[in-house]
Amino acid sequence: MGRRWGRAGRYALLTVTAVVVGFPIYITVVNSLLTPQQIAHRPPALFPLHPLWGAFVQAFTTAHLGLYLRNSAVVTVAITVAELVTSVLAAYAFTFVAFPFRRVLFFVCLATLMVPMEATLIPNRQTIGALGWYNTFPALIVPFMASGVGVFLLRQAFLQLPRELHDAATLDGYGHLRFLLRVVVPLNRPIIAAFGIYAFLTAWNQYLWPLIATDSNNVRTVQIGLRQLESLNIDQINVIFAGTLLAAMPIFALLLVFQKQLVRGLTAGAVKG
Amino acid sequence: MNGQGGRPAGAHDGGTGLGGLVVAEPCRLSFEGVTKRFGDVIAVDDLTLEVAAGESLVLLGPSGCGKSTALRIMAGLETPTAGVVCIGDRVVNDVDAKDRDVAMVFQSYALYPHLNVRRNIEFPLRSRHVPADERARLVAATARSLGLEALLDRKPAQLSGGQRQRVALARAIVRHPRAFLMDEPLSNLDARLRTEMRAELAELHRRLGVTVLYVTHDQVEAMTMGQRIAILRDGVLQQVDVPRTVHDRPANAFVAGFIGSPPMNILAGRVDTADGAAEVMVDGGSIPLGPAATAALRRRGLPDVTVGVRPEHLRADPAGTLKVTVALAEYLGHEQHLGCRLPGGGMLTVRLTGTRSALVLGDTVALAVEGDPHLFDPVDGTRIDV
Repeated sequence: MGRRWGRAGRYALLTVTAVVVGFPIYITVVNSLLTPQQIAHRPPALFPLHPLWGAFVQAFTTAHLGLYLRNSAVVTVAITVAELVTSVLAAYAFTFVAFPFRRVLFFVCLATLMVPMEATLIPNRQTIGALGWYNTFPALIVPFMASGVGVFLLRQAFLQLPRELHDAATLDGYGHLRFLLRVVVPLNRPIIAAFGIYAFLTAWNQYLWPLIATDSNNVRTVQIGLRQLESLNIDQINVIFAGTLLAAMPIFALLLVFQKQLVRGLTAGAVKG
Repeated sequence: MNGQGGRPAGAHDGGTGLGGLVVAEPCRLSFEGVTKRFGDVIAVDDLTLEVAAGESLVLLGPSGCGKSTALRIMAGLETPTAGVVCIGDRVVNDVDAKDRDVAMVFQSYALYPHLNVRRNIEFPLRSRHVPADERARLVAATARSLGLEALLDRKPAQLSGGQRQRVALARAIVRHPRAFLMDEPLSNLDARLRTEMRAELAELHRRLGVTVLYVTHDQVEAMTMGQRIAILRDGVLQQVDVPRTVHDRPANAFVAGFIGSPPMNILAGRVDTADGAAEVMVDGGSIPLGPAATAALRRRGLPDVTVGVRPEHLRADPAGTLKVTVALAEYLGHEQHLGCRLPGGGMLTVRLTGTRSALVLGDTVALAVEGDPHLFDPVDGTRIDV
């Protein structure tokens, strides 16, 4: 009896949460399919009886969303791949390779987590300026090619591997790189995938740095594109809604596809299996 | 790897094997003055030891005695601080682990969890770029000889402990190493399976005739698996010999107390040679000595001595010279272990076989010692030979 009520309570809570989280997304979808006049109308429409797809077309034609999306894709994929490669390699070294000052260097690596991003904005801006990278993709990518979070997260996961696996692979004739690729990476796929998704989301949603490091539409990313859309098209609020949906699409897709991996990766430490 | 008494080393098949397995010519392994320090800790202290080609030698000792470190040094997973390590006639101090041509079996089996049995077994072959058809042939032959054919497509998680152990062995055998290093390979198995695998390992050694260096803390395993046993304590080698000698003539009180189950009773005593035949006065009475032991003690001229008496050499006898109280009785079916309290508080273990005697807790009994006890120097613990 008590169990049944507990179950009902859980579902009620989940339903309420789902509505709270889902409603803004729903309204965004609805508004993107209405005219600005319909959006301004009160009471607001909760369902588009005659959906209009023009806003999506406009987002691409007048607002150049295609270019921004392409730029975001280039930057995000490059950052994600680079962060994965550097984090996996560094975490491996911190776990399996004995070298002088290993502990100290690891703590230095951890210490970067405690420096707020805002504190690095000005030095980074000056650095890319000095390198002549202003308004280029390297300016958007290079500062994020390594990640303290990634190194820490993956090192903790790698430490869980039995030491004897490394010994066995050594005797079986596998050097560091092959042991990493044949054993460590396959065994840690969930956590690596989880970190990859995290890196992708963070990179895709970047706003402040791309704003500072660029002023040309040729390299600016979609988050800044949206902001510009908003300041330019006050009278076309439906286009802004459409643009927002388009910008969020890759994230939705990623979460849908990798939902399982993400949950497994995040709980990997809790339920060892 | 047969029982006590041993079999001459090197009785191997010499380049051929059973069930399509070709076995590399076994080779000797040797430590010459090998020392390993970790900071201030000396894990292995000036170890000199040779495993003959085709021999099965067991490194035995309590945990932390340096036996696993010695094995890892031979494998190339640790670098010795001093000394020379040889495999065959080659000094391997500067040779990488992968080039030493030895295989290791680990306590945890160290199977790759994401690979099925087939891929686990062929893992060492892939790193050596063995062609696919040759690889398949070797895996099939090895799997057949260890009864793993039906399990080739399973993942390690789907196997029982004994099956995992066999896969680990297969992975070691498949590349025809010149020697096997085994680090407590049976410790993770339950008692029954351990006995079974012990017999299987012994059989495998007999069939393949390979050189085996085997590490364990279990003296029963050592007695049954080793043609010779090397006992280590705090990194120092105590004795190397065939199981029977290690058991019957332990080199010192430590070895005496470590080998045998239940362990030997060790007592401090005072020598009394007043009238003719000597005896050793101990807590609870005295232990008479035969003429040879008496002579040996006379030569030493020591006032004190450490005596060792195996539990099976004690029996209840009204004419016995030791007075004890039965404080503990463990009935094991084929034998009985009695814990007997000495007047001074110490304990003596007595092993009674068969249906002999039915002593009751609290009984005060007299115990007689059969034959001469083991005698050790009271200061350094070394054996006093009789």
